[in-house]
Amino acid sequence: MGSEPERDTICENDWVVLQSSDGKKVLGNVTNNSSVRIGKRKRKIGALLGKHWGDTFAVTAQDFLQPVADIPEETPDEKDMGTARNNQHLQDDNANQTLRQSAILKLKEAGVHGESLVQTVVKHSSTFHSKTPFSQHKYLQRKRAKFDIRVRVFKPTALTVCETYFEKSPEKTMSLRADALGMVLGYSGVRSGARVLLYENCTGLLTAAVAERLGGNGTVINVFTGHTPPGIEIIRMLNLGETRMKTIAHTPVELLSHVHEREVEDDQPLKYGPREGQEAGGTANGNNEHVPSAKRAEAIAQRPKRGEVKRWIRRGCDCLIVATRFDVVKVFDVLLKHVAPSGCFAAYCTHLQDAADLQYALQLSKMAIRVELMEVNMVNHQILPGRSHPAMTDSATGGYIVSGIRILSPNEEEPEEQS
Amino acid sequence: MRHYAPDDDGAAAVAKEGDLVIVHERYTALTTLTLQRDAFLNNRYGRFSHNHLIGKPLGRRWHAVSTAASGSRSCAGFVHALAPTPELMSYAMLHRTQIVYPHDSAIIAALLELRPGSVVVECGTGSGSASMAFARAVAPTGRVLTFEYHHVRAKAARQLFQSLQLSHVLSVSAGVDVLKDGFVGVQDASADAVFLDVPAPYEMGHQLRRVLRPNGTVCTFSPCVEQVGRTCAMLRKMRFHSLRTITAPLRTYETREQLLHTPAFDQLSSHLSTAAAASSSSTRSRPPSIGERVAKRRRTAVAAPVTNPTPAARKSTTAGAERMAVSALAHGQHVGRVLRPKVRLHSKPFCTMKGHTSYLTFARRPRDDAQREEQAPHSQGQVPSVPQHNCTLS
Repeated sequence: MGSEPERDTICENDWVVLQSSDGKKVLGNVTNNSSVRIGKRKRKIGALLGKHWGDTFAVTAQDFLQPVADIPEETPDEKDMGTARNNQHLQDDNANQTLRQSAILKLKEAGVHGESLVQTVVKHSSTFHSKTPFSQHKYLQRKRAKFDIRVRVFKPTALTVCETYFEKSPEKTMSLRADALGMVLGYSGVRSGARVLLYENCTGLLTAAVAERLGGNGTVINVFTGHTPPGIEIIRMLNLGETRMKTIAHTPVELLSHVHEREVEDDQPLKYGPREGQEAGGTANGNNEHVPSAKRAEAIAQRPKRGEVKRWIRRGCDCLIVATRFDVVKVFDVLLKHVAPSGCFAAYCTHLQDAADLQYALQLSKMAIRVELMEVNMVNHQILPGRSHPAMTDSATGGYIVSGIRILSPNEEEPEEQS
Repeated sequence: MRHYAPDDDGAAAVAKEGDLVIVHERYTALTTLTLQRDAFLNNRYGRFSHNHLIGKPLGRRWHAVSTAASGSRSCAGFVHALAPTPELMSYAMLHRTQIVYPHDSAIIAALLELRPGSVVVECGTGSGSASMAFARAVAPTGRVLTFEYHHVRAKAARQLFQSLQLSHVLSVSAGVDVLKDGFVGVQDASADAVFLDVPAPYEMGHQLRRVLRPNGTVCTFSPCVEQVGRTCAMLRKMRFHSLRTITAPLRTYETREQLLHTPAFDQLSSHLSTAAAASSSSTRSRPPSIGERVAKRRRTAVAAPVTNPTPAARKSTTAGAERMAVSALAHGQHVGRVLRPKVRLHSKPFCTMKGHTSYLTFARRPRDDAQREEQAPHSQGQVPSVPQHNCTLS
């Protein structure tokens, strides 16, 4: 119930995550002649249509993708490690590669491509044969990433999209790292059927991630400020499908101040901004120029009713998630009271000071227990025979998470009726 | 871990007889409790009637009918009863084995891309803390099939999952040694994810290939780097792709008010201020310097004596006393609101942490070669063929 069957193959208009041999990821929307930037150039990705997720493709000289078999990676054995070869006689004078850039370009023009180009470059390297097998392996990997690009196609999930943005444009998702995303989803207690109150400035990534975890069952009340939900472009990139998209209710923040009131618009779908508000009342006025197009009117009709959202909030939400670049304490002051007692919350902060302010304010509020301020120190490791070590370059922090459980403060409790 | 029906108004749900609840006495004291009519809970905080919870929403103060008679100083007279979550359960329950900590299971669930409908195979169950976290992510349509070769642990886990009303999502296979017998009863290519917390995950390559769907993800949880080395070698041999090994220790922070006044320095500092003020008295209209503004803010933040503290006041300049002063100041306006405290705060990590739990290795199962070849002719002819070589995709 709820979730739609997962498709094995890539269809028209699907979003995909393409990961190239050097680990870099890029998002693309697949149509017959769409293209994305892989390496230094734009490549046509139409060849992905009908192919299976997880497949590997080579980039051809004409900037197309072509399916290739998956060859297992070979790593030199520990026995090859040896110390016979070393860098004792290595001259770092930029003369080790005798093939000039211009010569490489000429070769490319002449149609030399992929592995044969890599081998030509190796042949012209005066130092290749004095390298250890490990260092030769690394050298080949580097050259292949440059001259013989391979990409693997992944489903755009909360995880893969989060990682893509974290690498490419972290400013759009508040540098939300995959582990922090997992922490937020875990500690806020998101589960299918839950009512999740959410305020985020991560361009829709968290909204989409929560919708993914609800699986078409439950509601994510995505609170936004301003006239229309701003910056939610990531939501459409997760191929969520209709049932899961329907669980998202973009809710204007002003509604929160009318939760306990009865309003005329209560039986109408949520309206965003003054313009849509006018449309609602515009029927009385003869000349209304803001008649929404049929498609738009349909989209508006799909939204939950204002009164319904108010009722959800009155009943109390099960989970609260906040990731904001604004004042997180104020956001909590407004939102936390709408979480039902015993519900869980998690806030993602990029700065320790914000997280600390929130932690302290929550302790004073007596509206939460088990308030914790956490940081995950995630480290990637290279695991290779005889060469295992933490990654040389890694992200320094995944931000800070404040989590806790909502309780009723003494001020909020009704007068005691028990003896 | 109740799952609400789509149109249920859920959150206002009340505790029922037979429900398992978590009793939060204080941060380090969590216990589980099954509600029974006319029963009582006795602890250091007093005697508590189950009847007061039955039919009421959780998350409020649960007051004692009579407070503990003697001995205990901190007799608040109330505790909190909370709905169980995997996080709370992992602290409240008995640790029959080394548990997978909540932050690890949260990260694992995300990196395994769990969602409603996913099928997860887990080995071994242990205390069941990871199983509960996975069950929450995949319910109500998914399944967690968990294996435990130790009969007593398996039985206890089964009881636990039953009391949490998770039996429809979680099934425990008892007494199966997966290293010898494999994932008995799990169909081929049926699992979206496999989580292995076993001593020798590197001996399970064929089983992993058998039960995982193409692109399904395995996560192995091994404390030692040597195990990880062998596991990765196995995964490469089995042609798994997207290998990745991480460690993710958790650092937790404490936040408290900064000690604002240091008797001797306060005196000297205010002396300097008055001297400076006297020297510049002719230009009284100048704006206060940053130092002065900070000093003023600190003075007003905590209404504490700045000059000539009495011996008693001097004695009370401890963090605890200041905190009480702040709380007293704040009381009334801060309770029931989340307000930015008007004191300087400072945070630091707690002195000790679990620096290492385990290496987490993730990898995805490839599609079978047979399936691949079937599809290959499709696209040939459009583009020139490319020589094959060893390629590494991380």
